[in-house]
Amino acid sequence: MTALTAIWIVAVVLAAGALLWMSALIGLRLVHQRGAVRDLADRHAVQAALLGALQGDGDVGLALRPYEGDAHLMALSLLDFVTLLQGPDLETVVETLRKAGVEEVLRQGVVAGAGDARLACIEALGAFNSPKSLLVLWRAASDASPATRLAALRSLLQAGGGVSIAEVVSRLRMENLPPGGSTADLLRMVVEADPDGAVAALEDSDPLPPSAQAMLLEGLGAAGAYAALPTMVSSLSAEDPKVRAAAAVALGMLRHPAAEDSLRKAMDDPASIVRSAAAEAIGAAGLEGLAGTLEDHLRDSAWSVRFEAAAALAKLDPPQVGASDEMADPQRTATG
Amino acid sequence: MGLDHPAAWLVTGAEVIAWCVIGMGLLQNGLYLWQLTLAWRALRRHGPSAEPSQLWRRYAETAPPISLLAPAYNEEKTIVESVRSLLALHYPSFEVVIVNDGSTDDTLKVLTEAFELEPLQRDYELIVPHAAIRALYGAPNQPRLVVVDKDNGGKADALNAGLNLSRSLIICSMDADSLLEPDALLRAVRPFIDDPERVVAVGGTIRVANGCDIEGGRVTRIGAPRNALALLQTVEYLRAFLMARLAWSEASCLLIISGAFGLFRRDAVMRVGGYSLGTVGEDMELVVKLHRYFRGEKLPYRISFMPEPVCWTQAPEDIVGLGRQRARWHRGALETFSAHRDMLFNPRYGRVGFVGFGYMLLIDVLGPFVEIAGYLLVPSLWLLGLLDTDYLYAFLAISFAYGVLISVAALALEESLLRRFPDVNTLMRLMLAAVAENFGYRQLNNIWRLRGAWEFLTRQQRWGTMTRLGFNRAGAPSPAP
Repeated sequence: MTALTAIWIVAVVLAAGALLWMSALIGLRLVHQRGAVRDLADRHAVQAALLGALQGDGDVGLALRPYEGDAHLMALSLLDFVTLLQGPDLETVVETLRKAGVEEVLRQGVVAGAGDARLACIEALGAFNSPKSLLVLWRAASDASPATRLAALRSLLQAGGGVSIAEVVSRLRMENLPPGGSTADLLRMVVEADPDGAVAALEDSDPLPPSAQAMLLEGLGAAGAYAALPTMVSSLSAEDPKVRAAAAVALGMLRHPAAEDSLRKAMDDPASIVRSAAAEAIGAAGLEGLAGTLEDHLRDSAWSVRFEAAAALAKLDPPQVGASDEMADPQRTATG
Repeated sequence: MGLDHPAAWLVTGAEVIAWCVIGMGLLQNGLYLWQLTLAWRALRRHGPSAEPSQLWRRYAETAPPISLLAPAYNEEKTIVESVRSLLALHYPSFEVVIVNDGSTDDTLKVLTEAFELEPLQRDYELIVPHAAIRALYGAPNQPRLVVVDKDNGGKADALNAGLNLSRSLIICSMDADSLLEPDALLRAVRPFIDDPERVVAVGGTIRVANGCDIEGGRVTRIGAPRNALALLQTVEYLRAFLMARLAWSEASCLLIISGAFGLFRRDAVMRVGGYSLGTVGEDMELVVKLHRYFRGEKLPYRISFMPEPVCWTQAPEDIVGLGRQRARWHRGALETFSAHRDMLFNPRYGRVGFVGFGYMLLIDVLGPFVEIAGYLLVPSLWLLGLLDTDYLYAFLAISFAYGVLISVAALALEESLLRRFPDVNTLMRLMLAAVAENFGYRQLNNIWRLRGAWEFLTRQQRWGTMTRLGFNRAGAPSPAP
């Protein structure tokens, strides 16, 4: 067989294979189509049963029985309620599902599941706090996928699984967690539970990566940890501008008058992201004594600083707002 | 037969020509198969993502604010519906910046009436260049909406105005006549949440809205177009987005993010000077500039493609409009290639220079010429008796059988891993279209690309006119007046 013959024979075989593959998929679709309709009906049935539990319906166990073994369905149904409810109502839903054996089903979903179904089981398991569930979640926290590790740590935190600040910090040092918004969100939750631990981590002789420092500082600010004020102030002198900006933002969130001097100095920082963060912080903290400093920065070289200074002045004393209005003239700014 | 005989030279010459055409085709199809494999692997790895309510629960707290920039030029028929649809997107924090690019119709008037617009003041800095802004407007009942009225300057110019005015870390460029799915932003923003330090741009999927039911600026039922040209484009878009762009994203060589739907880190776009003016391929040009800047400066960065966020667009249903659009796209690609030709095989730009630009040279620059030459020469040389039938069969296999393989496999990829088409009937029609597009439509596309090359070589700068049909009739766009 020549090369030319091989080319067309291979092409025809491959094209025929693709057509067969697609035909098989069309056949499978007929089956899936019915499955999709059934899935939707099952979801509604579980939701109805759980709503019944909230209204004191005694036959919930019976209503849930046909669906108990479907980990993904039960996880999604529980997560719908976790989003909407809290307190005793949520406890009623969780207890109903526990009695129906759903906790064990979710654990199986974490151990043997895959993809988004597994992730949903991990998230739903955060509503339960039995030692077996915590153990499964701790194992998931060592998974190869960063998204799975992050979800498992969040669930552990929700279930009271003892996720310490030291644990998260050590993972950040090892780059075991992605330095993104979801990690920052987890860190905020951990810092809220243990602000002293966060301060200790920031003051550790072995410094954390700058992104981790910034996340910890913002977490401390969000937690309103006044004891962390000296640490925030000293972080305003950090080498990395992102850390300095995060410290300024955190000081703004604390709304403590003791931050005034530090934020005044931060307004002269060489990095514009620090100056704009400081301006925003002054507005957030309502530090009227710094209105003059903000006015000085209405002619800052960086647009973001001018913008934040004007916005901060608008939040302070009303007479100062005139200055920001003047700067807010778009044509004037546009033409320089 | 010795080579000294004139006929032997002719036969050898014909065989050389045939092998060049066949070799080029093999290389091209080999690259498509490689893309198919990469796309398959990526989709398998990601799997179908969570439903919208789960995405909201996971990411609403951490999703960064986004400014949607939608340039509008003579969009009076569609603009109000499009803006309502944008304002109703499911995303925690966003603003919609509509840039009326000197429309000569009543675009601004219909917007003013529909949203009770009032003059607005907003501080901004002229960082990237654009034509003069006449006025800014805001809607008292829609604090997320900003309308910019400016002198005409083209799409890139309008996007630059929006860039200067936007206040978010992330900007989303789009067409005012396209429809984003409600959860499209939440799905597309994930790379920015997961890797905020490195991700500078993310592209989403564009799909053909013809044939879908659309109500209140939303696609309520996905369907296959009844118009044959639009049906062929549906398969073509699948292949381009689900296969090619996903594969290039996997290979870190994605050179284009569609102007109809792309998210960018604002500071990165500012650093490269915003959108380039005076080009019809401003979307590709911007992405190439980002590669150039970050690779040139040796800074870590990522440009990604996400297959699940979807933007719906109207595909042209007449052959003249489609031909004009394709010629313009090709001209844009050639303009970008020409402006950045020093990146080709330049080690400074790594795989973008070697693989990305190498592919452009092969497929975009040389591809249409070689393919058209093949259609003309190989059958002619066979008819003249200068080529064996094996050459003809091999050429036909390269031109048609591999084409069918790639088109059908792209559709199978979609059905295996995403399953967005609603029913078996739609799938069967699309499978037929995937086969049919290789017999006539693809060849026609090559002719349009040649026209684009001619326009590029003769420096023609026209955009041409495009009739906006509107999305206001369920099942199909309304006919043009």
